[in-house]
Amino acid sequence: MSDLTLAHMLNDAGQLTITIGGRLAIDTTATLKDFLLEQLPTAKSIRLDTSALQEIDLTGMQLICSACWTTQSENNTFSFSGVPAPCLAQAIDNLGFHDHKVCKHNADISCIWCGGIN
Amino acid sequence: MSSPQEQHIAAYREEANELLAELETSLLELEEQPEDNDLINRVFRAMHTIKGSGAMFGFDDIARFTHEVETVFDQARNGKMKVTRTLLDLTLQSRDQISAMLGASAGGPPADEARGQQIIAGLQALLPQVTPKPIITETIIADDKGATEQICHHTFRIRFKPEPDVLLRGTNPAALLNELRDLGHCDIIAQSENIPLLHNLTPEHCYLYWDVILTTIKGLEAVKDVFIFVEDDCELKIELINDSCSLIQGTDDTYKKLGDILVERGDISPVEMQKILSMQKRFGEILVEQGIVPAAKVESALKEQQQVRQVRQERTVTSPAAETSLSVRVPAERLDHLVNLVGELVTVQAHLTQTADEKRDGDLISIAEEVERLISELRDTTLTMRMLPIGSTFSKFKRLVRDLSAELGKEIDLETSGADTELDKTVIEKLNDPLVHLIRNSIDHGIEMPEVRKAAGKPTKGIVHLGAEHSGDSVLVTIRDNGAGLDKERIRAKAIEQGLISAATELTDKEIYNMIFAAGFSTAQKVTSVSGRGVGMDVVKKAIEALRGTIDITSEAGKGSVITLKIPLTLAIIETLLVRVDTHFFVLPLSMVEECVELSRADVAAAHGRHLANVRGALTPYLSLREQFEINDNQPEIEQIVIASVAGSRVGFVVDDVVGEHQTVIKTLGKLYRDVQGISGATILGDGTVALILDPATLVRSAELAGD
Repeated sequence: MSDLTLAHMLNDAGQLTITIGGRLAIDTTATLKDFLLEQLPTAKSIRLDTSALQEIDLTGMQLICSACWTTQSENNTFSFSGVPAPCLAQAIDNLGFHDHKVCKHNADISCIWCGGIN
Repeated sequence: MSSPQEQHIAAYREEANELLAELETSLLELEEQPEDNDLINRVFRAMHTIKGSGAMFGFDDIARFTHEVETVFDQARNGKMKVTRTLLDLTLQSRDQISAMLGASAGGPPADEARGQQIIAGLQALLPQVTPKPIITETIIADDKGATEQICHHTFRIRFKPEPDVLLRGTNPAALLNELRDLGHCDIIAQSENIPLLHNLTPEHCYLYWDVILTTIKGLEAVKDVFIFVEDDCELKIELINDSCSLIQGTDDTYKKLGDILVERGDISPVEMQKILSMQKRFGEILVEQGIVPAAKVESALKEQQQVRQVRQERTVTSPAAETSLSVRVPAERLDHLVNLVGELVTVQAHLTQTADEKRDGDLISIAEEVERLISELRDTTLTMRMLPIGSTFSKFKRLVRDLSAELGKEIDLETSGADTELDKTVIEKLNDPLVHLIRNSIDHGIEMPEVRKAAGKPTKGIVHLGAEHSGDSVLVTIRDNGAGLDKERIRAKAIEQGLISAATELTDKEIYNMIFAAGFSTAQKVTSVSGRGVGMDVVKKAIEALRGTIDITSEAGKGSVITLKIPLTLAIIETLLVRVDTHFFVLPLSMVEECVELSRADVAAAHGRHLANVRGALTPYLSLREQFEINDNQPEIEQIVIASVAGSRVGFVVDDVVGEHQTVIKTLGKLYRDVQGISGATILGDGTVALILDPATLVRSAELAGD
């Protein structure tokens, strides 16, 4: 399985699109975390493109959850772009995220796993 | 007498057929209301019972197949899948496949296995990636000797909260969750409230924990075994919250309220619950709004509530106690036998009454009257037992209309009324084929293509209405469509072309419409797989007449047609008019008789030998039963004409004497006499004499043909 690949693009409106591919798992999650922390101060909104993702484990899921919450806490937005990778859909189901409707950290807003915060 | 096992198998087939009918009806209703959970549950329960009982009585192929279908519907039931047209199509096809498998088990042609595989493949393609197991897979298993053993379903509430460094110790919680899924039906809710902000997140730590509701036939030890290697590295709480075989199982299909579950779990305090209850809002919503518990915890508690209720509902439905009701299932042939015996009794009673009258014995007459009263009651009760609502037939036609309209590219709704109208089961069975023909014709020839309807200013969707209502001792069944109506000119032209009438013949609208009942008559411009071959309407008419019924058509160009069938309530015992010709007795269905008038020799002479009687100024054609049955002796000076309504026309039947009304127990003629024209059966009179039951429609048709 390939390593994590990262690409990003920041437009004039401050929208940062991050494209991740390969493997987002316990040994690569730290890379994405560091990257996000680096970008957060400048990005007004973050769009995460997971379509090239090939593997994700629960640490990757936690990281995305945390990134979503962190962005929201700074009054910015977090969303997915592109078609979510099949492995992400499977992880949502396997780990029991599919029934989330409202996220505790973003009261009254549909959880990102349920297609919310877009 | 068959063995108990054979009787059970026969009972299973019968029950399965009823369930398949219910399944079809529910699926068609579901198509109109795809969000209706009650309907989804009805579909699921029907399949579940077919499967469970199938496994019990050795119908393993049916159990396996149904299990696959049920699995998919379970997803719909849990809200994880939408009820789509594709799902309904495949489930209807599955229903047909199960029906074919049942038929094959009873000696019918083998079911198409490849077709079954295709259906299953189609259904599996609809499934989400992860398929939870059905809550209850098998309720009862049977050993080789047919003995059964009940299996208990345990529902566990599990909270699994791993230590943060569990991942670093090489444990993968996701794998443990999958092991739980292998044990049974699982609802898994991840609790994400402990995930920190990005700055505080240690990527290798596990912040998630899980609430799991598991229903399984395995015991507590099997559940604990899943966590055997992590029990020191996690907070683990496993509670048995429902057991289908013990007192933990509630007496009804309800379960704890949401607040009680959350208090029991320790997620909220009793004080908090009381506070919230005093506010008139949905409990879960308020909890989330107030920030007392995260939404995921409410969701998890709701899952628990839903799953346990579901298990209890299923148990209620499938438990033997539920099957005990106030009705008793009796094989149809036993009922038929009872009706035959009552028929014999009616005949004997008539004999008794006649003998008592002849002997002028007051005591005997009194007994005969009492017996007559009791037998009359017994007859009515027995015949009522064979009465079924015609709605059971109607539901089949919904499927027919659905499939045919799709095949022909038309938009058609079937509306029904009077589904509760009751008819003798034999009549209902025999009515099925004629109705299929008539509805197919309405769909194919009556209702226009959507674009044609639109151009004519009509709604693109056509309506075929099937209705039933009581009318005296008959039931009127109507098939009405709002299609193009019958094309009189085309029918007339075709009738001339086929030599049925001459170009100069003047016909009323009704007579023109009746031409469509001629054998081989069709005005269809093209032959479709549905109709147009000219085979059908004449068969329909014969079938209805064989039921001693009549068929009538009205139509209006551009607005549609109405076909009305008048069917007697029963085929076993009918009210008739008993007539005599010399020493021979005949009966005519009383429902057809309009009046009786005298016919003298002078009347015959005045008509110059033509068989026409002047009844209050109207010429009424008649046929003589003497001539018809070649009875030559003892012709009286004054005969009687019994005028009956046959195919909408008044026709007379000349007899020597009208004896009076008679309660006729119908006996079928033997094989040798099956094809005799004009006679539809026989009955035995009180003194043992046989009277033939006349079939007026056939007699008239034969006379017309002879006249031609």
